[in-house]
Amino acid sequence: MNVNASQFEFATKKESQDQEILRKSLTYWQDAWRRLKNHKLAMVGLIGVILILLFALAGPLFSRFSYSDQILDYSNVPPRMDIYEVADDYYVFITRDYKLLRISEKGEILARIFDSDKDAINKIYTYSDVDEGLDIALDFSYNLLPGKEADYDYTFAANGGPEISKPYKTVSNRTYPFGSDGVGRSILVRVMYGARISLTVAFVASIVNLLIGVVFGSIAAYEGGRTDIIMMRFVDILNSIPLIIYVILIMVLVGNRGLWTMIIALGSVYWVTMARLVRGQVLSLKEQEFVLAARALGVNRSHIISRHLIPNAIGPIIISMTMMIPSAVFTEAFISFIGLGVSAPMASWGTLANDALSGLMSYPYQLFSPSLAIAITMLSFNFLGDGLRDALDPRLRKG
Amino acid sequence: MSKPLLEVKNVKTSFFSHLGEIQAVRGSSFMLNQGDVLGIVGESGSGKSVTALSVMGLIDEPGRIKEGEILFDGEDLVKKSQSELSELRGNEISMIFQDPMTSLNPVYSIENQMVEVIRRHNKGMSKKLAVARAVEMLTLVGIPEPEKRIKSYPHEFSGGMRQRVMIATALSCGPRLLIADEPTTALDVTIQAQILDLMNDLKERVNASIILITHDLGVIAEICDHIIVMYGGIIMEKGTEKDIFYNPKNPYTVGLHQSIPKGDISGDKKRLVPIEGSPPDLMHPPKGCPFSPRCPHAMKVCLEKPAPMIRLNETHTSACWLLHEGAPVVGQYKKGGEILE
Amino acid sequence: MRNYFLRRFIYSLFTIFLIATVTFFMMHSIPGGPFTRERPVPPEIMRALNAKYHLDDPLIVQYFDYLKGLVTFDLGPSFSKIGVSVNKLIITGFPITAKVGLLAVILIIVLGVPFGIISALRQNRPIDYIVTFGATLGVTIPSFVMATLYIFFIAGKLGLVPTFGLKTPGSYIGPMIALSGYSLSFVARLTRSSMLEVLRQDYIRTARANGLKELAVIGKHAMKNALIPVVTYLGPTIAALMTGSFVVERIFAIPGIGRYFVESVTNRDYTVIIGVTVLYAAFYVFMVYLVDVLYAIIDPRIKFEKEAG
Repeated sequence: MNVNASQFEFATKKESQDQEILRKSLTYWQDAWRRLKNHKLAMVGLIGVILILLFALAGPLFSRFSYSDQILDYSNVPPRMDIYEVADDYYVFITRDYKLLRISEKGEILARIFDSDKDAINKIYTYSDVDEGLDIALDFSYNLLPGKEADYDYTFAANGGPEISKPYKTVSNRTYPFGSDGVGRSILVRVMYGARISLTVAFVASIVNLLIGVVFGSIAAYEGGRTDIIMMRFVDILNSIPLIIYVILIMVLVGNRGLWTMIIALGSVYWVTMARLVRGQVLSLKEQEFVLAARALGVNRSHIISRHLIPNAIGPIIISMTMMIPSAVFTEAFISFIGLGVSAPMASWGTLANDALSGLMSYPYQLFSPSLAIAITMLSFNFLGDGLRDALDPRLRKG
Repeated sequence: MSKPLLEVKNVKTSFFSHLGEIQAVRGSSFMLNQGDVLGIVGESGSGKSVTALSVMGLIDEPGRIKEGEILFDGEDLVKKSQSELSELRGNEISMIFQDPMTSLNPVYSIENQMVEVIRRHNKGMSKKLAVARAVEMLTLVGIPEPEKRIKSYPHEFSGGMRQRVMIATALSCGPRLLIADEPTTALDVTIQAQILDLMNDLKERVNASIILITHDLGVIAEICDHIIVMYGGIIMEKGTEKDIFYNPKNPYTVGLHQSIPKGDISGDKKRLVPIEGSPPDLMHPPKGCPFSPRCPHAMKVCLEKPAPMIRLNETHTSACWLLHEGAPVVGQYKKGGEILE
Repeated sequence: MRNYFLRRFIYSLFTIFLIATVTFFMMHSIPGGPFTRERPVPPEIMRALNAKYHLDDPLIVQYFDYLKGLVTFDLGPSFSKIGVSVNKLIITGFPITAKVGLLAVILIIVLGVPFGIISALRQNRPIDYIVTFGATLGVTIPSFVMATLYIFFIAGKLGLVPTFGLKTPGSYIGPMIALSGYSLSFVARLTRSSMLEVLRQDYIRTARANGLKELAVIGKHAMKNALIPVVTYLGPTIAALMTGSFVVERIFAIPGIGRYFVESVTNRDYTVIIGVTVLYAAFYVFMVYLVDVLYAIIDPRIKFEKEAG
């Protein structure tokens, strides 16, 4: 082994220290953020949550309709339309309840064309556009009457001209991007406002839960002894009750189905898990030296709880909070779906889904939009929550 | 000299996390003869436990033995499949762990767990015989009223008693090698002494070789014939108990000695000298000697090249540049000896 | 140990009593009686109705009458379905709900637990990703969406099964899926994470170090520990499936107890609301009790702690 003699000189302090690869010491939050950034699904969830919030907050600003604007003539129009060119640059769309709409080539709804004659026996309706001097005959007897088997279900004929059976093309509905509902309201706008309602309920209810849970849990744990036993027995009893029923009973009890009723119902019932969690955390923390030290220094109780115990339990609290929000969205949707949600014309996602249920077979798109909104919200928060758990869980932290 | 029972040759074990490769053991070689007691000392992260788990074939995902051979009785364990290894484990090679509180399954009785192991390695043994064997082992490790206590569940035992149960189970199939990974660290000081006494006593009675892993030099002194000092995934110094305690030839070993309190009531108060700095990051191990950034005598070469393994006498080797002929003379680090690489 | 079970049992009875009381007073504190309608009822009819149903008695008398009824399993008459007792409603509705619920529970156990275990044992492999993804979808899609999608595609578009009711065996599939979807996914996730947690435990390493076969390590040592949280979750879930039936019974038009409950809430049929609530609660409390018992049998540590404490 050949080693140059000069290499046997002693290394300086600095040279030695340069070798020691400095592991950057990160604060808890820097470390958590670094972990969260590396968690792909969590970032997907985070972006999802941000987009949903933007959708709910900023979305309605860009829309020409409000959530209660009704245009009855434009009811039940789907998001995608097969339009037919019945005359030169004159396109029409027929809804499933036989309303004829004039559509621009790009997909904007221009006007409803009213019927002038309904021949229900032969299944031929005639619609008249007086301004343009057009009489459009809709023959929808195909596949309904004997001897009329065809590849298509209906044809158009303008002013007695040839029957048009092929759609000109399929366009997206520019006026109602997600379609319109049974009374001609924009589903997109309804879903945006629904997001406001659903998310407001979820956030506020979760915060209420959080506050009750944290206060209750930390007091029980910190006081210990008899107080703890009594408080936890109470939690035990609440925990052995099917809570959803109590949310429903509270909704019935309060009667007035406003936003706040829902928030009170959800907020007053679901804090039990949080209380248990906080109690467990505080119990294990309060035995640790830094708390003992604070006590020995005569720091008062509420200060110890709020300054020493809760900040150290914040990780699990945040995780549980991110999981609470989607479950509140879920519960709210559930309750609205069985008809106990906020009252019309306000609507949450659950209400929208409930409204769409009766027309499911004819107008499935009316259900898809709110359902998709719920599912995306749930997924985003779940992904984010999973990521946060990995990022904040002290047990996995050292790694 | 007869064939060694265990021969570990240049074993390298790494864990592959999504952040990169953690080189837990970076080339470890040693030998163990039948009946010997080998101590492995080092701080946490030195690679001592990973070395032991490598021998057991218990490196879990995402870890892997990258290189090297582990010859047990002449057969290479690295090449064996998990099911072949499981025939050996608990039978030829046993292991006990640091924390007896969590090392026994809480939902099964002691009897259930011991009998399961005994019958696993003694095909066709009746349950009755297995229970008798278990009771015999519990008696051996000093559990009072073993016939009665065997029905208990782990939570009904104290930590020391649980460690005794662990030892009894590990020895129940008459292994030729027992690996004890910090068996006393999690116990109270008085219990620690009892368990060490027990192991010392068992060493005589059951003819098993023992590898005792610890971060506590004091524990090792009592029962080990040979000692290995590990740091940063490599072996720093190897020798008999006398070599390591009275004639250490590696600055790290010296540092270890200086940093442990000597329980002299006589009043010979020596100042404790801590080793400054922190252990190396095994994801980015230093190019040279792993101890060089903390070494009081670090030379330029130490930072650049790994130190050669230098044989000082038949039993004593040390990996340190100070022992190289070119190095300046420092204190007790007398130069000379055969460079083994 | 028997002592512990007995104490838990008395505790459960007490909880049911508390629930019954709270529900009673909640319902009676609602402004307006059960016969308050949009169109005012003539006062004499109102008085007659109140007298018929003893609503003119002092509240405390009504309360004791109601407790007496509870003990003798007489839940009184329905206010909106004239001539039908609450008992009758429960007897007709409950078996239907229970049947669908039981099928859902079987589905949850038979699919959820094995999927979770397989997923944990093959962590970060394709099968794990598939199970995790499926389970995540399962907990994010509300049951009513699942049910309506099912009706739209399977029953409507493909016409494979009847859309409503429970006439054929095939018609049970939809309600089963909709009812179990969330819990099935949750159980799979819970089993997976619990299994992963257990596999990291020292005693699993001990079992391996003692040379036990992988089958025994997983099937015996890991399994029993990993299933403890799953059992804890399953008990209340079984009871909660009945509340899930509110939605599913509405969508699939199943004449079960959940539908009666929703109807009674909209009709303010107080006796039915109280009766069904107490029934649900009692069932729930009973399942929680059963879990406690089961828990003590699986986990020997429990008796010790509780008995000492």
